[in-house]
Amino acid sequence: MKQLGNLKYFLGIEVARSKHGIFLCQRKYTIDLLSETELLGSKPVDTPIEQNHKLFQCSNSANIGKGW
Amino acid sequence: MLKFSKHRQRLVGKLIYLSHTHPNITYEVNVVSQFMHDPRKLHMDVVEKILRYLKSTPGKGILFSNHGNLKVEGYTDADWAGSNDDRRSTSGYFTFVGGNLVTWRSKKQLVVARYSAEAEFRGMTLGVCELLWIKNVLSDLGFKQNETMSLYCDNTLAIAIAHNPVQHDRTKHVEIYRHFIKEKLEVGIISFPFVRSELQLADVLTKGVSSKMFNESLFKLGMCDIHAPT
Repeated sequence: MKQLGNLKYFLGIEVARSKHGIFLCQRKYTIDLLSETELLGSKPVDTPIEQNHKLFQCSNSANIGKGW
Repeated sequence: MLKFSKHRQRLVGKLIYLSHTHPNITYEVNVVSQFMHDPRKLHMDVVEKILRYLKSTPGKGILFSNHGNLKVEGYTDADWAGSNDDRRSTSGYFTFVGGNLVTWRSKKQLVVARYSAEAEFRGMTLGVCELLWIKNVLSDLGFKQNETMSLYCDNTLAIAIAHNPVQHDRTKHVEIYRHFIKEKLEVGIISFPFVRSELQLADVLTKGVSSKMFNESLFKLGMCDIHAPT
């Protein structure tokens, strides 16, 4: 088998090594996804979901209230 | 509204792939995946929000570094009756080896829990299974673990029941879980230290949390951005 040296990039995952340790990220994959969805120019947010945000199935959302 | 509407499922599939280096979006991705058989605007709005969050930190990832030990520990939490559609709970865990995050999961439970401690209990069981698996993998690799593994949990009632099967009335229907956990406790494989809710890492796997709490958890999970200017 051919020795390709240290792993740098595999299946969209970037690998970096230093004396601090090994770092994994998917920077390129994320940016490609953002450009595909045309969200590169969108306003960034702090958290991926609002606090205590609840999602419903569309058909039920009308008749299920909060609590019991 | 996302213009990518024809490929909604594929888009969420990509987000699932992205959670490999973004453990902090696991819960959100898990939530939107539950609706992908019939994705609507309200669901895609959440997907868009996840993407806009990623836009703020595209280069964030996980750093694995040497902390001088190989201690195996985990954090588990559950959000009781969190699903508004069917009132099932969501539980999640993070596991660490030597202070580095290794595995994590956020899962809506398969049955409705009658009490919050019960939801927590089912979550604890999943966490225990994961820790036992890690222990096995490590021992296969030649790193035998004899130390007790800690699974941090913020529900005192669930911890109390694990140690001493009181409250029989409330837990008789989850007896197998209870005995499974008690067995592991008694042989000293595992312990359940209490952790205050505000130090509970696994909260981000079970519900949407405040941005303060969210950002604190990033640091504790070993997430950082090496590309970011310091």
